[in-house]
Amino acid sequence: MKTPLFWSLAVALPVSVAAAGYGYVEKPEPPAAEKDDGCASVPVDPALVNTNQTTGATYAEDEYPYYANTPDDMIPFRGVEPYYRYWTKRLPFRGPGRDYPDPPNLKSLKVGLLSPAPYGPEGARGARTKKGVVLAFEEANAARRPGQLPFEIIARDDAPLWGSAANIAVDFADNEVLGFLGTIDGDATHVALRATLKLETYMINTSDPDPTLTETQIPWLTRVFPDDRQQCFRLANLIVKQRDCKRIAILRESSRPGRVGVMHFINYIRRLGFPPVQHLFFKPGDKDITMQIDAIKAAEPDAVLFYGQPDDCGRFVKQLREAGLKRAQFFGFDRLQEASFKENAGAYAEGMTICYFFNPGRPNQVWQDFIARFQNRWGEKPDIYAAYGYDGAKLMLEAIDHAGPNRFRVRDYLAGLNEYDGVTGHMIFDGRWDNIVPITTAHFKDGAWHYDPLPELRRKPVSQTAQATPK
Amino acid sequence: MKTSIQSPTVLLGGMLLAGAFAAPCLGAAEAPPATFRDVPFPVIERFENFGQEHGIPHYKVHAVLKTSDGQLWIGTYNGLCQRQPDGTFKRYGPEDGLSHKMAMCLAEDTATGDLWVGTMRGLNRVSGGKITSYTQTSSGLPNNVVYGVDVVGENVWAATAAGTGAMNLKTGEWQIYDHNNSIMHEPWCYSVTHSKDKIFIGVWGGGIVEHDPKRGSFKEYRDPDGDFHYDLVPDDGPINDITSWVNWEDGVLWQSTYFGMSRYDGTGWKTWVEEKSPLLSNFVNFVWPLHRVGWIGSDKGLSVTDGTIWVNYEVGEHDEGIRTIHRPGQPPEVTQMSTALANGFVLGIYVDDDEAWFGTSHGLSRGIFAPYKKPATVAATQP
Amino acid sequence: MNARGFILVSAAAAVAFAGVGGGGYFWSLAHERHWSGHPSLSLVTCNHCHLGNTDKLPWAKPHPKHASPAALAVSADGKRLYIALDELDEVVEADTASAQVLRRAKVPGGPFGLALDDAGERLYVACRQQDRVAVVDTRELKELASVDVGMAPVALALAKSPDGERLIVANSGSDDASVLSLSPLKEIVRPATGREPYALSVSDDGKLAFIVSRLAEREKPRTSGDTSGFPFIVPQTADPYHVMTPPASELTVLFTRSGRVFKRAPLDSAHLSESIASVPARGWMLAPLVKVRNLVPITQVANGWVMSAGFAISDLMGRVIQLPLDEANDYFADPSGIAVDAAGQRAYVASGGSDVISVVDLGRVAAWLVQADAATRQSAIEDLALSSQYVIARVPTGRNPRHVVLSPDGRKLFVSVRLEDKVLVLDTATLKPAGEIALDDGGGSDPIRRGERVFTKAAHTFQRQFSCRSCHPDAHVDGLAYDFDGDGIGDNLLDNRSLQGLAGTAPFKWNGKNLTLQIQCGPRFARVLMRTDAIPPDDLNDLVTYLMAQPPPRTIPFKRLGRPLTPSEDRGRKLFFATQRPEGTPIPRARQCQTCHRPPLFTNRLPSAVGTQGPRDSTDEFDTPHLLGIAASAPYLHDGRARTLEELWTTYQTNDLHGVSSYWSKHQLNDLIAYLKTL
Repeated sequence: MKTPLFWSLAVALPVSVAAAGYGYVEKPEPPAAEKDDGCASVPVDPALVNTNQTTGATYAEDEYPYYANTPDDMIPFRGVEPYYRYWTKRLPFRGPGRDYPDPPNLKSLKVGLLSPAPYGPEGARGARTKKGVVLAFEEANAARRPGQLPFEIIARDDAPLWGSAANIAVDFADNEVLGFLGTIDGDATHVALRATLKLETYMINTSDPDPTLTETQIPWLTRVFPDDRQQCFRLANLIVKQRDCKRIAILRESSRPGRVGVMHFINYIRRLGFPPVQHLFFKPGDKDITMQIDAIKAAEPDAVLFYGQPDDCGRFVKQLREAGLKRAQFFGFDRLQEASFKENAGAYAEGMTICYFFNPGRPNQVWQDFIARFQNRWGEKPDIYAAYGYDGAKLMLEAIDHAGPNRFRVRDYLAGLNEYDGVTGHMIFDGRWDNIVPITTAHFKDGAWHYDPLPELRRKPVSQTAQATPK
Repeated sequence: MKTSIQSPTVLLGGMLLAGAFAAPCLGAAEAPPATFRDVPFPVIERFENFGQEHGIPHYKVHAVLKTSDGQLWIGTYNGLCQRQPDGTFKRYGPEDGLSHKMAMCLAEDTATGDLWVGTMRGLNRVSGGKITSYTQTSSGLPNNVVYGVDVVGENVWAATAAGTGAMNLKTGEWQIYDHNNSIMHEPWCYSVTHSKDKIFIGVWGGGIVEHDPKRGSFKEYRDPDGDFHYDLVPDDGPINDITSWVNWEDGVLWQSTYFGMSRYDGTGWKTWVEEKSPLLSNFVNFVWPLHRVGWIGSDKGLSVTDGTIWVNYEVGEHDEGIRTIHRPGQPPEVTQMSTALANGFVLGIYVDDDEAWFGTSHGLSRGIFAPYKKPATVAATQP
Repeated sequence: MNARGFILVSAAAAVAFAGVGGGGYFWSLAHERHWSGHPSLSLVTCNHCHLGNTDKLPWAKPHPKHASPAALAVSADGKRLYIALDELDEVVEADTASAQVLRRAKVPGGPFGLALDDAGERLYVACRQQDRVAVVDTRELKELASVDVGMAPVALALAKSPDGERLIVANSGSDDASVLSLSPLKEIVRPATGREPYALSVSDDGKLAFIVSRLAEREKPRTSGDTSGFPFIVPQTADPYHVMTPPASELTVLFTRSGRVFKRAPLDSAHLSESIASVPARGWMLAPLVKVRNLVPITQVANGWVMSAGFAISDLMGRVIQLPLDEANDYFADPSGIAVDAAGQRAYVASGGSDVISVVDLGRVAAWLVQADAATRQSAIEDLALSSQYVIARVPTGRNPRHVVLSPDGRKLFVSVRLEDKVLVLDTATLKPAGEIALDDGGGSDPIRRGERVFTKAAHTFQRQFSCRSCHPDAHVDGLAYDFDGDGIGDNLLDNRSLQGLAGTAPFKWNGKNLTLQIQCGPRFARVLMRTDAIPPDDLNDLVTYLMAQPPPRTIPFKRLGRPLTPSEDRGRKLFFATQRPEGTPIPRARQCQTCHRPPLFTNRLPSAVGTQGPRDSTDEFDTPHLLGIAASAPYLHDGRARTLEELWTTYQTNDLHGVSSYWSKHQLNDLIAYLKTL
């Protein structure tokens, strides 16, 4: 049901986006419309509206008031003017280095690739990321002109213990990379990012959804992968404001990704007036969660949010339904889109709603071309990890091409970007270099996922937008 | 309805800033020697800078420490260096046994005279001219990336990328403290320091963890706002959970973050952020306390404060030095100095009653003090 | 019963017997295979796994104790000689004029090192087994006080300077030195030293203490630091020992007042320094040493280039040169003790393996140093002809001279002849015996004592180059790896294994091919190592008896012996005996620690393949070492590539073959190692 609030917000959207700080005055030209797959959906998500009414401030062009695009009614301490507000401007890097001479005797332009440990579900996702990265490198190298140095990947696999990602970041520096890409695991990315700050080597993250990653105030990171915060406020908006659920239970993996993944969702629904009635954990691979099921049933929720690996969540969806939890609506994050969810959930996957980045079957030409090239190279279709890996790599290579073999100038190029067009679509980077482009939702119906159209994008690529333009 | 929160401290800060935004009085190009009688800590009169021409093997100087035998050591991007009597620097690198070229932090064991050096790949003991390394693969060190080091009694503490480790120097036994066995919110540790009976660990994302070794207890200091968007209320605790450095001296705990500065004197917290205080920048790398005065290294220069009076040192557009003294209720006193910090990106600081040293992203600087009355009690610095 | 019945009954019995026997055989095969995780069972006996306890092992049984004199100290007036008898827990006072024992006092804890104050009133005694220093009142010859120090103190020295008095103690078990104030008697600081500090001497002004270490730091790849990059680029195929740097022991110089470290001077390619003496007249410190060339093939024994005896001269700044004691075709192994006269004219060096005192004319040494250029001085240790220029005499002693001390007037040299239970008195003018102080009967009837004599005797090797003790001080390890292959290439190093706690752990050798020590130490050794005649059978049996009587090394501080495990050690114990991962999945039996390292000796005495085959190793299976005292026997693995226990499960772990460690946190690894250090 479309409430007056919905309509007011829908109207306010273009206004708010235009006022959001980029200073674009032209009438926006939305990208080619995607076909509605017929699934029930909301074409414009009010969660994207940010009127800046909270701050009451006016912003200059280089200011970024819309941190993470958080909707007004989910912002912490709304209605209170804080003593100090962060991330309204991008943090500059004030150190030296831009005029340092190029390294002598270069034979290649090196870029690090930090992948997850090569086993388990993250290992599989990392392998797909790597394929996207490799494809980007191969294409870039094929396009090099005589005399241009080739690009080279310095690939390292993470180990899940002992903070090895920090050691890998150091190893990248020892190999004199000009930047690096990675990784999925929030722990590892945090650890690498800390080292990155000291090493002064730019990181493009292509697959870590941890919302806290970019909150560390490190001006050496761009994330092309929309994070869990985006999903959290989308889901909060969907569950509370559109589906009118008031008793929300959360069942999530007992891990750092699980903790920080739902952290903002909990904050958001609390701010909307409906804190979770249950917040329960499971260990990855758990088979028996009878206690959690009993507790959830006792709470009589009207919505349950799942966070975890898709096979675990699929199993628990089935168990909850079979335990008699019929009425509650089930929601989840992007990973439940993977096949193992529906394999384990079986028929109970029907009716599931998740957040997802975009419709992987969309007819967009750039996307379809990428699929074709990827299939030609690897004999399989790319998934979201391969696609963002490809985009991240392209962006890094473009920065190196633009800045030359100097880590500081590479940083300046990347940190100066507001937008970028990749195969995954248009990206918008906020004051923390997070891609806050609108993402979509998907519904499991008749044995398949059906994707809502992306909310309309009210921004236009400008001259700052990076394009793959070989020198 | 919006509510503006203003504490008395804020109002005081506002008054201070009112002065700051008043027309500053620009001093002469090179001020005559001044005694700065009203400034309760030494004021730097000029800087001497050292770089690759003096044997420092890289632009970037991460850490600087003068040991109790008077030797000056610096940790650089490309090795550990010791200042020689002729003013040049002798380098120690991996070929001398250092576990990695990037020396990040330094601490002295004043009992044995050993220097402990944290690098990006292991912890090292420099003793009697010999370097012995400890890595996560060859010892109980939690992780190779050692950001902070301290020697407390018979233990050497190392703040690493995967927890803080303590090695008992008598038994060789290691104890690791991280999110698995302590109150630590995250295991990513940036610095470690100590008071007479406590250990303080600066944790990236975890604020400050206080450990009482005798009791085995832990306590944490976190940003009460709970959200990184804002500092909702000043002076209510650590300014942020992303601790970049923590240091303790004379009953005062100092925390630097990339979101501003905090100080805890045992009774209450004080926080400073740029624009609302004379703090040059929120991006603070390091703090060195001496006689309850904080020497604060940021990405924009050096700030020195006792909490009331501030003296800032910046590098001007033409590499001139700019010194600004902020006194409560008075316009800032801006002086152009003919010498400046080697670079405004200050990474490491050492200060004693005689001089100050600064490691920057582009060289090492020595601060020469204007004449001032030294504190009555000066600790013995010789073994 | 008729014949038919008898046949039937017999047949039935035979079938039953065959069934039981066959079934038993196959059951035992399956049982062994199941529990050992080992497919080849030819060596397995029940005893491999079912050794109930260690009580009946030779080293656990009581055996005769002997006087075995260790350190000596002479009173300032030269009238009294004090002798430490570590095996008997006694300190003896003897009259130097009559060479008679005057009094004996019990000082528990293996008194090994001695230091006497100037007034001759206080005797400080390093009690090796109890990690303490005892203060003995010499008037009463009675222990007055005691202070705890580091592990296994073996030597100590008083430092008297205008800044005050200090007692410096070398703690051989904890690789550090205790710096004590005398009033009150307490430890001020404990700086680290080299590995196994064994002797020390103080400069004439009392301000500096020079401490020599018995063991060297293990040779390591030339690129120092943690080059493995674990855990993301474990160099599984890398050659762990190519281009090694030679080992070096350490001369540690401390400020006596503060205990701060002044210098750590490397003694390159040298180790086994067991004494050091000050030469105030020349501003030197002299320390005997063994020049070791473990990185060259052991075949070089025939060419005289594996190890040789020498001494280091250090000035007070810790600058060192090394000079030889040996001659080109005659060696004086195991230089154990040194004494220098007050005038700095002569040094007396006891060679424990050759039973001689070498008399060095320091004036000639000084003269040579003056005329030699820097390069010549640095390479002097290699010139075995050089010793003839300054070694003016070789004086025979009894078996195994270890400590030496001069009377204050320099006229008498007292030599503790450890394996004959006596102190020899030499007239330094004539270099003839001037008497001896008998402390016991010499122990000739004790096969263990006889075996120790064989063990310490260099005469069994070609040109008396070394004894068993040269590589196995105290029957333990020297911490080095040696090239035993006759290929002349200089690779395939083999780690030196401890001989302590050996009983019950047969077979021997890293490939486990020597079923007995008689085989191990007999003809094969003669051919590979000694390059001379094999040890005679009776001596060999005594040697084996001696070795079997050696208990495992103590790796726990004395005051912690018998205490329950700490929480960390207990967690490590559980990890060691774990049969499943935390989430419940089983750990394959063959990869459980306890399968191969089965208590009580922590070995199943079988070869195991744990992924440690080097690029030029001919096999991937190596004998499973016992773990008793493992903390004290670094380095580890068959080629000694792992310098620490941690490296076994980090740098040199391959695919969880050496125990399933991939799920361990750093906490768990530290816990496991804490537990292993208690074994």
